[in-house]
Parts: sequence; structure tokens; C-alpha cells
Amino acid sequence: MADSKASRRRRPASRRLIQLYAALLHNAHLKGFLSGQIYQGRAKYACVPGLNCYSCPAAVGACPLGALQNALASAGHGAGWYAAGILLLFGVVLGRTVCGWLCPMGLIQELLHAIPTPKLRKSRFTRALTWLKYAVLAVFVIALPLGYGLRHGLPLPAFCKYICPAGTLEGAVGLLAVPMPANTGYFGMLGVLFTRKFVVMAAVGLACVFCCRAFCRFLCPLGAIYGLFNRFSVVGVKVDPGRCDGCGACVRGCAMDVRRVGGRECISCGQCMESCPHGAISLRAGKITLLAPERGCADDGPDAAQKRKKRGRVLRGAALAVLCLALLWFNALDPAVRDEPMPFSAPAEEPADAEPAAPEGREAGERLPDFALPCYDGTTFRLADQRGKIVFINLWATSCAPCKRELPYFSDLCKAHAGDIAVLVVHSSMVLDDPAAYLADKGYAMAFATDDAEDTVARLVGSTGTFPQTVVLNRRGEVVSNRVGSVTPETLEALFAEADGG
Amino acid sequence: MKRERIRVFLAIQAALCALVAVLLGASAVQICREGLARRAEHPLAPIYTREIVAEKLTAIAPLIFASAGMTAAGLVLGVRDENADRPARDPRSLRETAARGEKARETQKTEYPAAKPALQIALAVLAVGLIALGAYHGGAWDALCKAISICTECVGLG
Repeated sequence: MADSKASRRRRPASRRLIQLYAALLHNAHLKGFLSGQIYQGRAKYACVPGLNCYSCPAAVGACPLGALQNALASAGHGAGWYAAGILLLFGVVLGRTVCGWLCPMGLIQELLHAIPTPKLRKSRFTRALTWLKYAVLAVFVIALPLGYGLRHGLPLPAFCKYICPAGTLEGAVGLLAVPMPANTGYFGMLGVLFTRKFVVMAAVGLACVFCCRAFCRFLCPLGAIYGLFNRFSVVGVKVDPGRCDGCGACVRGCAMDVRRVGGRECISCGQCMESCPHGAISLRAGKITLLAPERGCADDGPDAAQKRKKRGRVLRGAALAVLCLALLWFNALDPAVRDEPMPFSAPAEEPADAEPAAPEGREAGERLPDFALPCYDGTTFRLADQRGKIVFINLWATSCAPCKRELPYFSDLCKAHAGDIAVLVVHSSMVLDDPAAYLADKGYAMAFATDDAEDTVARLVGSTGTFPQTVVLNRRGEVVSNRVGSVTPETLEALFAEADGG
Repeated sequence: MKRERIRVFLAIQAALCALVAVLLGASAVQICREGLARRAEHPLAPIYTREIVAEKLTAIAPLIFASAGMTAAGLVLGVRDENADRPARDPRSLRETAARGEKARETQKTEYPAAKPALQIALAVLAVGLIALGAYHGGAWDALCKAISICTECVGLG
């Protein structure tokens, strides 16, 4: 009995260590928490298995749900198969073992549940609620992004935008918490959307305190997808038919809403291994036993426990080496994380009687350095040629819905102040859909260009990869405003007036 | 008596957690409402600022610290809801489990299906095929482009 209690304590502890390890590996770009910038390297070609927002400053991989929603929004060109294939692969190999052992959001929920309060036990009601996540999957991950993309040609990652607490916590709060000037600027764009998502996050967090893995059980579409593959997955808890007598101790003692071990709600956490009086349950990968009850499995040979221990030592060593390499690569060695010098030069020598020039820079009161960019209409936009005009520089991307939504506002502003204003709309150098083709029939009045391969304009205005971004210069070429986030027609008029007054 | 004390401790902690969550949500709503009123007068006025957020958080901080302190004390002392350890009370689930058990005892065989290697291999091959097809159509580039830029609307920034 004492042995059983000790092993019960040991099992969650070892799982907790693996969860921590996985969370660290998902978020190996720790430098991001100091610089306030997200990782922009090529590792983000790959999706991670767990729910982890790719806008978290430390995230080193793409979120499979985010990738799927965005791919569905541009359903025309078949890119969605990539995210679907990755989800299928994770599902077949790991199933919901991802939820129990690898998902950072799962770890956060379990830590919240560790707060000592009265707990809500599973019941028919909680069991019924588990179907809610399939509705969330169907509506917010598939139907809305697909329907909105087909109808309006705009991406709408509805789950990310309206629900995902991982996005709010890791992405929004993660970015806001970094005390860097660029991140302080994010406060300026917060509004109704953030408030709504923050309230959702607080409610989900509170639910997790009282109800074990409330988000995972009732809302998470990723868990819903993996749950579909649970019975076919290579890795997972398996029952030895020779030992099981169907007493049901495993199901009764499980915190999840399982009807059977390995069912759609089972996260393979392994808690049932110790509650099974016959030692019939083990965590397996095909024919290999990864974890077994203290008393061993039925198919154990005489030295099986020794072999498992030896294999465990090798795996622990390899895992530690992988983590060290990942931390080194994502914080120091990857070319994407190396600091580049600011492209600003010292102010030129001015004649003694001339008005002193503002120093070069991108903050308010500084003078934005000159640059030239070829436009889609064949002309070249040179900043130095725009002196005497109010200049608006807008950074956008075709994959950004608010960017597309605000383009007509810039066009209207351009027409309202024709001759007195220059508006340059610069697409990110990362081109997903041809921006010129998108703009062809829109009839906008501004100059459009794509940033060059060196991201000259993005670097000059201090882009952190956040879209949209709007920079306003007064008639002397000095920065009046440099802000990220959407704008309204009223905001644009107010910015114009501010620049004109300056 | 001890059990009674544990119940009181858990109830206080539950109330604190609920209060912190409600106050956090209410503060966000209040900041937003006040900010929107300011913005109606001046379109460039920010709704949230670091200072306003810090002020609201400072007001809630004593409750957060109290809750954190109680959590630490509860974990050290091993205080937990004993009900959480009791078996589930879903009658239908338990009925089904009991029926399965009876059947298993009769037939000496559990109903849980064995892994199906052929199906696993087929699904894995299908997954690899989909990844290759998606990558050919620009799916990997698509994922990268979205992952290395921050869509402010998507993460809830605004």
C-alpha cells in the first residue's frame, strides 16, 4: 500500500518534468522575453504538437491550429493539406498523449488545478460538455475561417481571435509584459477585442482551478482532433486483455471524462496504471513498453525492468542534450536571432545658420532616413522627394485581415488631401499571395510596393513583424507617430492634423 | 475538527480565486469603457496604457498575494479536497463499466481492441502524403509567413 502511494506520487512528478521539458522545448527562444521580439527563424516552417501560440516571444514553432485556420482561409491553393497532414501525423503517432505529456497549455491547466480549492468531480454533465470542443472545432476552426475566406477573401482565424486563451496568455500578455519601447507601443492598440479575450482567458483560468483541465476537456479543438485518433495511435496507454477483468477502477479514478482507457477523452497520463489492481495498463509505443506499473507488465521478461531503466537513462541523456542544443541554437547561433546594428547614420554637418536637423531614427521627433523603393506602377518612391508633404508609410501583408480592411481608409485620406500627402503602402518581403494581383481591381490612390529582400523599410521603421504598422512623418520628414495596430478613418484624419500642426 | 478547518481553508481559497478572476475581468472591462469614452472625444487617445493597467493591478495585488500565499501554505501542508480522490459518480459511466466488467469476466477477454498496425501505417503514409502535397502547394511557406509575423487581431491585441 505504501509502495503504491509512493509510486502514485512519483508518476505525476515524472510526467510533470516531461511537461516542463516539452513546454521549454516549445518555447526555447527565451531571449524573446528580454527583447520582446518573436522568433523569426526557419524552425517555424514546422508545427509543434501542442497548443502553443506562435506569437509568444519564446515560441520556436508554428501552432498547428493557427496554421490550419489560416490555410483554410486561403482554401483556393491547397496549402491547408500541409497543416492537416501534420495534425494527422501527430494524431496517428501520439494521439492525445500530446495533451497529457507535451502540451504547454495542459501544463498550465494542471498547475492551476493544483491550487487547493474544492474540486468539481466528473459527472454526466461534464461528460456531456466534452462534445462542446467538437462544436468549437467545427465552427471556429473550420467553418468560420473557410466561409469567411471564401466569401470575403479575408483570413479570419476565428478560434485564435475569439477564444484561444493560449494566444491571449502567451501571445498578447507575453508581448505586453516585456518592458521594451516597441512592446509598450502595443498598449496603444488594445481595445474591445483584447478586453473580450482577456475576460475569456480569466474565465477559462478560473474554470481550470475548480475543474481539472477544463479547457482541454470542454473547449480545445486540438484535443478534439487528436481524440479522434486515440484508438489508433501508436503511443498511448494500452490494456493487457489477459490481466484486465473489467473492474473499472481505471475509469472511476480517472479525472478525465473517459468511458474506457484509451478512449477519445483519454490523455494517456498514466494515472490509471497505478489504480489498476491487476497491473493490466501500461504506456506503450507499439510493442515497446514506455512506462509500466511498479509491479510490471504481463509480457515482461526476467530483466525487463532493468532494460526499461537503462533505456530511460539513455533517453534522459538524449533529451537533455536536445534541450541544451535547442536553447543554444534558438538564443545564440540561429542567424535569425543575431542582433543587427541599427541602420541609422550620424546627423550630417549643417551650415551654422541652418535649423539643426533632427537625429536619424524611428521614434517621434526623429528623422526617418531616406530610402527608395520601386512601386508596382513602375515609379520609384524616394522619401527625400516627399519633403514638404505629410507622409504616411503603412506596412501590411495580404495574410493580415485588418491590414486589408484599412487600405480603403488610406485611399480616402489620400484623395481628401491630394497634393499635400504621400502615402506608401509597403508589403512585407514575405509574400504569400501576390499583392499586386490582389490590388489590381481595387483602384486605391496610394503608392504600393513590396519591401526588398533586406527588409529595408521594415528595419528603418523598427518593424517587429507586427501588422499593420503605420508611420506618419511631418513635412520635414520627422516622425510624428509610429504605431502598430489597426486605424480608423478618424484616427488617420487626427494623425494627419497632428503631422500638419507639427 | 481538522476536516472542518480544511473545508474552511478551501472555501476561503475558492472565494479568493473567484474574486481575483472576477476583479481582473471587471478591471479590463472598466479600463475599456473609460478608454472608449476618452477615444470618442479624441481619436488618438489610447484605451489601455501601461500606467492604467499597473494602477488596476496594484489595487488587486493584495488579493493575488493572499491567494498565492494560501496556495503555497496549502501545498506545503498538503491541504486538498478529499472529494477529488473519490471515484467518479457518473451513474451511466459506472453502469457501463460494471457491464463491461461482467462481460469480460464471463468471456475472459476485454473488449478494448488491439492496435491495428496496418491502419496506423496507412494513416501515417496518408499524413506524409498530405504534408508533401501541402508543401508543394506552398503550405510550409504559408505556415512560416504567418508564424513569423504577429497578426495583432489574431492574438487579441486589437
